Amino acid sequence: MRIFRTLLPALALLVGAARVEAQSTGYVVVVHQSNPVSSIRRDELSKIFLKKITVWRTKLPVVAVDQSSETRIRAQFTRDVHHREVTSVESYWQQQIFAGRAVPPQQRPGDAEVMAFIANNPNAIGYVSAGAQLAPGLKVLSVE
Amino acid sequence: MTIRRWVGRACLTAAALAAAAPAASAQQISIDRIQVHGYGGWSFGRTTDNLNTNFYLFAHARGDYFHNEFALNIAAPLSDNLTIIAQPFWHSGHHANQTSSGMDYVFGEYKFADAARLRVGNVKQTFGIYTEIFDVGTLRPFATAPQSIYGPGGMIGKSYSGMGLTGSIFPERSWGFEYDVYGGGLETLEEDTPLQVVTQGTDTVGKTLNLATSRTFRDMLGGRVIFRTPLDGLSFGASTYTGTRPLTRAGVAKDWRRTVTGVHAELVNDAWILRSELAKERDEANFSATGSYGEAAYRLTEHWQLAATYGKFNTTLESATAANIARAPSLLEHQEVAGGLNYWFSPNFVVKGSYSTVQGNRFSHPDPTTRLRAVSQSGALMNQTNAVLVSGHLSF
Repeated sequence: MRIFRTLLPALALLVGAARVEAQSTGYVVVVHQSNPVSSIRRDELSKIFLKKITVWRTKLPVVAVDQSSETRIRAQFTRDVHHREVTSVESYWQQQIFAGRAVPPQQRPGDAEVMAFIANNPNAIGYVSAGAQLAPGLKVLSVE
Repeated sequence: MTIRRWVGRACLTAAALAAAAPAASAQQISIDRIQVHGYGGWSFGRTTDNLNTNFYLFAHARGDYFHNEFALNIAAPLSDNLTIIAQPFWHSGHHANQTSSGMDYVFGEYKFADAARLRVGNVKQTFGIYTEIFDVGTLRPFATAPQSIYGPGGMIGKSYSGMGLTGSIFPERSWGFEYDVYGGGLETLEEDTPLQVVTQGTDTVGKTLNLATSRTFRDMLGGRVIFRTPLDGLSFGASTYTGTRPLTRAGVAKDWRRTVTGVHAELVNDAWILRSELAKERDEANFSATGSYGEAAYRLTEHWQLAATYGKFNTTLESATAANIARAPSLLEHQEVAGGLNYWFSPNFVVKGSYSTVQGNRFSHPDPTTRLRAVSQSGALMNQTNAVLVSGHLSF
């Protein structure tokens, strides 16, 4: 019994921490409704937003759309998906730009603009706040 | 098949591919699809000994305030597969009226797939870590790229004129692979007046110094491979190129070959930058050289960064007599230790300060137009140069 009494609070803390982590994923990855993809791996998502992968599995070109670099959602997405800080990723893009190799994904200032962009681009992929009302014609991808 | 014939056939193939590509001549492009970026900077340098007549980078005894640069990077995607990329630059140096401008590169790229992209035009040379981002101060911890590889030793060029194939493969949860192969003509960055002074010795009657700061190589072939490890930010690579230049040396007129080969390793993450390169240069005409460096930078905070580097460049001059080499051996050597402290306002704006101690006069020497030869012959050459460098760099 004493062991249970000791372990229970620790267990509760662990469960609480897990919940906090789940809640801290304050964004969802969204694509156009017509996109046949329904799930995506984290490393695949990272490569798409770093333009290391430029086509969908269907061979159609991927058009990634980022949120502005000053936003909290961008910072969280960058840490979760790229395992980097935004400043590091910006340095990566400087390298790509000035080497003449690639330019960063287009940026939009907020959820509404990202959703409008994806609604008009069937090959687009972006992320918006988890609580945002999803615009018609979009769907959420599950991230593995 | 000779290299010249290979390059010729490759050019014909490129022309055929270009003709087969969707017509792009005079193609109108919506202005909102064009991406414009740029970088610039200002640099100041002063050597710490007032009696030292050596110039090193942008530093000399009186201090030099006039090094400024700016470049625009323009990418115009004509279609999903075809992009035109150009980078015009402006630069001033040493004296306020010494300015230059031109194109760093301008080329077209046709993407068949991520693993195969054809580049034609005046294209950035891909060698080692820094050639593609040679002048971008916000992408390195010191004011300049390491001189032991990227200095005026003739190891690299900024861009080649010709065509190349580049590509990358990033398999699932595995190593990534990037490659470049290219061919054409290359203008290297080099200032070899110290080698000329050693070769001439005291026999200077009727001889002048060639003050050119570049050499042109033809029938050039090169390539680079980079392996990106599953450990984020850790990569290894190898580079090489070879080309020839016509020259009359010791009464023999022929195409003399230069070959440069190098390896590099790099670890970049949020806090650390660790980079190291080793390259060997072999010029049939008269010399061989070995350059290497190690560079480390650590982010103390979001804004403050500490940096340190050690580099070495040694030249073996085959066209000079032992007596002439013994007169000024330091003209063949370069060794640098430097420490720096940087303040990053953002990834796009940084102010850097550093202190360098240079042994040798291969890259740090008196003005070659007026004093190098006389100072060397008088035995008054100062082997050591200490310099304070301050610079600001921006990019967008």
